[in-house]
Amino acid sequence: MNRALSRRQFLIGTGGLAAAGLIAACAMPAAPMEDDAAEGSGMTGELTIDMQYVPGKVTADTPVALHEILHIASEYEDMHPGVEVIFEEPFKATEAMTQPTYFRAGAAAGTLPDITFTYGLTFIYDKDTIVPTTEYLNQPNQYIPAGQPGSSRWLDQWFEDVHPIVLADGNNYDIPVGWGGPGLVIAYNKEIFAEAGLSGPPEKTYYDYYQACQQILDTGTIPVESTLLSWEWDRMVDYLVRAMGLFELIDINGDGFCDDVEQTRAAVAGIVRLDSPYWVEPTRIWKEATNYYQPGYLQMAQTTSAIGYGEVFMTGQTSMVWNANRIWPQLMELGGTDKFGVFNLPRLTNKLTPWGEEDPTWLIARGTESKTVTKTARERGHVDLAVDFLKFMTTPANTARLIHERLGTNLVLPTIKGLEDLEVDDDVKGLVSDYEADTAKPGFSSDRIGDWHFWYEWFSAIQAYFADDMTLEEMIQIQIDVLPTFIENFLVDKELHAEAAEWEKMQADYTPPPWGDYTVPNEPFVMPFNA
Amino acid sequence: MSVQTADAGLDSKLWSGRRRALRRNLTAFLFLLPTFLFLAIFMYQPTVNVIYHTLFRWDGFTVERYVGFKNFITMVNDPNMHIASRNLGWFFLGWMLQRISPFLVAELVFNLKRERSKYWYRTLFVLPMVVPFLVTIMIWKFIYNPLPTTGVLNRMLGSFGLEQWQTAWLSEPSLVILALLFVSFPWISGWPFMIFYAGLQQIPSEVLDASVMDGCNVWQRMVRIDIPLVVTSIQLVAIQTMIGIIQEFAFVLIMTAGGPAKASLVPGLLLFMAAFRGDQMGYGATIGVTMFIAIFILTLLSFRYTTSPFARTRRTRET
Repeated sequence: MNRALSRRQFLIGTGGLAAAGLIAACAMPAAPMEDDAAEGSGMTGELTIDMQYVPGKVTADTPVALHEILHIASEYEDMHPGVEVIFEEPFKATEAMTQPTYFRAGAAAGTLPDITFTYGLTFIYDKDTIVPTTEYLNQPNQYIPAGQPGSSRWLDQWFEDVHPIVLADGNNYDIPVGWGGPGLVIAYNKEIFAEAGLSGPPEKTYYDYYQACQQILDTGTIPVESTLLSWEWDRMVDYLVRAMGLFELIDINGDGFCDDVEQTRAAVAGIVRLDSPYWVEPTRIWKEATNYYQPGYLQMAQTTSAIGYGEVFMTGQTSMVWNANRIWPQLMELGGTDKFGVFNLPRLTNKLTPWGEEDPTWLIARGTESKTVTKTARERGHVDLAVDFLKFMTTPANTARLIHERLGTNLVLPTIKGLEDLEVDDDVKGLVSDYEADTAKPGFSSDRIGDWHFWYEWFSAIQAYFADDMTLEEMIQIQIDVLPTFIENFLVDKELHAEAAEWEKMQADYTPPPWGDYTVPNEPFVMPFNA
Repeated sequence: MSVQTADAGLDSKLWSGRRRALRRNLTAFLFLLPTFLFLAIFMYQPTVNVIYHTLFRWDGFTVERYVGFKNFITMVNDPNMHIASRNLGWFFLGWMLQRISPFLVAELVFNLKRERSKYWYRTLFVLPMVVPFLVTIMIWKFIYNPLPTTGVLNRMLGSFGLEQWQTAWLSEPSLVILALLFVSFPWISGWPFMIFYAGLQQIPSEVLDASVMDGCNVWQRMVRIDIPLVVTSIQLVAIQTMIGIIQEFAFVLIMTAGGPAKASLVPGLLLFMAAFRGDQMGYGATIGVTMFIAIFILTLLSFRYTTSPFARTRRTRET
């Protein structure tokens, strides 16, 4: 029984295993060859897409399965025999912080689909991995009926202030989906509001919103469930950047979008200053606003996709919840619009800070959802096919179908023309009319500057400041100390040192800064209605 | 000349003996080869790779830039590393005590007279091992829930009329480390318990009988006999615990993500965030290599200064 294996038997065995391994390796899918590229040179072939969700499946991110894109793809395939649209299951890296890693890993490994999603293209360093789209956006969209916006030039389909992003080199690189808008909304509990004597959502400013919070707090109920994600602060910064006339100085190419290069340039040139009112005042206000948050908001700081987010609100322990988009389906099951309502993120006005405007224009979130054609499509000869599919997908008719379906999971608003008659739920209709997308302006979105390290320091300093372990001045100083490291790394990574020398010279143009002799105040902010 | 010829003959004999031995063991070597190949590819190569990348600024995807020892200098001067190391010191003390404390329980169970009682207590103490640690973490997150109506701990305090003690346990920078150390209370961890219990069982019965004859009380027996004789078990638990603590990040990540305000940040979490959130692979590798060196040195020191009496006796006999 204990017979030793002879050398001959051993060699035969290992040789057989090696041969089997070789055959298996040959059978594995190979990288695309030239022949494949030739196959896809026309409007045929397999078009691969990462939609940012899994069509037809319920996942943590999409509690209601989304099927409409499958129907649209099927119709497209019927129109184009020889085309097969394949939806790839996204790698679980759909949040803004992890998407760049996902994208770059895919680019390095050659596994990106022909079309993938982006978050405003701000983090993708290597433009060779994505295809410029300006040329295509200037072409007619043959899927739009003649005479309608976009039929002679695809770009005209979007509202002027939410048209596709232009990066610093003057090129477009993405195709926004036909929706955008608030992205985040606040849901409220109508019963708790009524008990506090509030007949409906607060008026459309932060002043009114905080006043409502105070009124609810006075009745003994916790007003808001929120986390330390920076939405509240970020939107206030957006309004002050606009109010102080800085947006136009930062947005050098005038596309209405301040990308990472433009924002870093502004930091080098002294336009972006972390000790200026637009950065500091929202921080002070925000600290005071956390008095309206549920206890333990500092620990529930990581993400709203975490298990349990929204539970405090859904169990009736708070009257409002930020970022209600994700839990909208659950709210509809728990009581529907009889019990819950939604309203837009408020606007910051001069009733709360003298640096604000009296009646600012609504600001709209930009670059939150868009598609980009990748180098995979270029290598496989699928660029024309990919763009053609996106033209089909973003027509008003198809966008309306996708928006309708998404209203079940996310509250989204159209960013393209031709959807004025969109039939939506009454509550959501209120949002649509609030935004008046043709007059809304894009926000500044401060998160397009700074790397992970900068934002980690920012976040930790905010926590220390909110926990009264640090003064506002110390907190701001920490951020000021970290910024140069980010800028230096950014310039090295993007090879922008030559440009940076020019940017520094611009500093003289902006002195004295529009904020005069403002200094960081350490005294706490007091809500005007409590003063 | 003749001496050289004799040497050459000896060499030749030696080589032919080695060749014979090699031929005899060839099959065994060939069988071992795949294992070593996999070890080299999946264990040694990544380790060497990590050490190599400490010298580079690299995001994991694009071209790496050689920076010499800059990453190490950055790490030494990094305030986050100072905070993380200080926090780790507190965790080290707390968790080490937690892991060693089951020794007392093992001692108690070992001294029970009835075998049936011993059996049931052993089972009871080892049973928690089957609960995945992630589940334990989720349970404790629930216990620490900051809301007075939902959090188990806060509700308990409320029911005892101690509302003034209710707090957000994981949101207070001054409390968070204590709160994390308190997780899994009463810390009767199954694995150290089993190691200690097995160690106690190895003590020769003659020694225990002699201690009874000499009139040792329980305390004297534990201090003078049991601890010295199970020191290798304690050493094993201590080294494993030390390695675990220095490498720790998942528990802290899930509970607090190092917050609030870095109050629970640890080097392992800093490594994770630098490498996988910040794409600073070179810097992450530097922290990792430093942690490896720290573990290596502490393990050597532990072997040097904690030796079982058996080993000491053996060494004395040999000399």
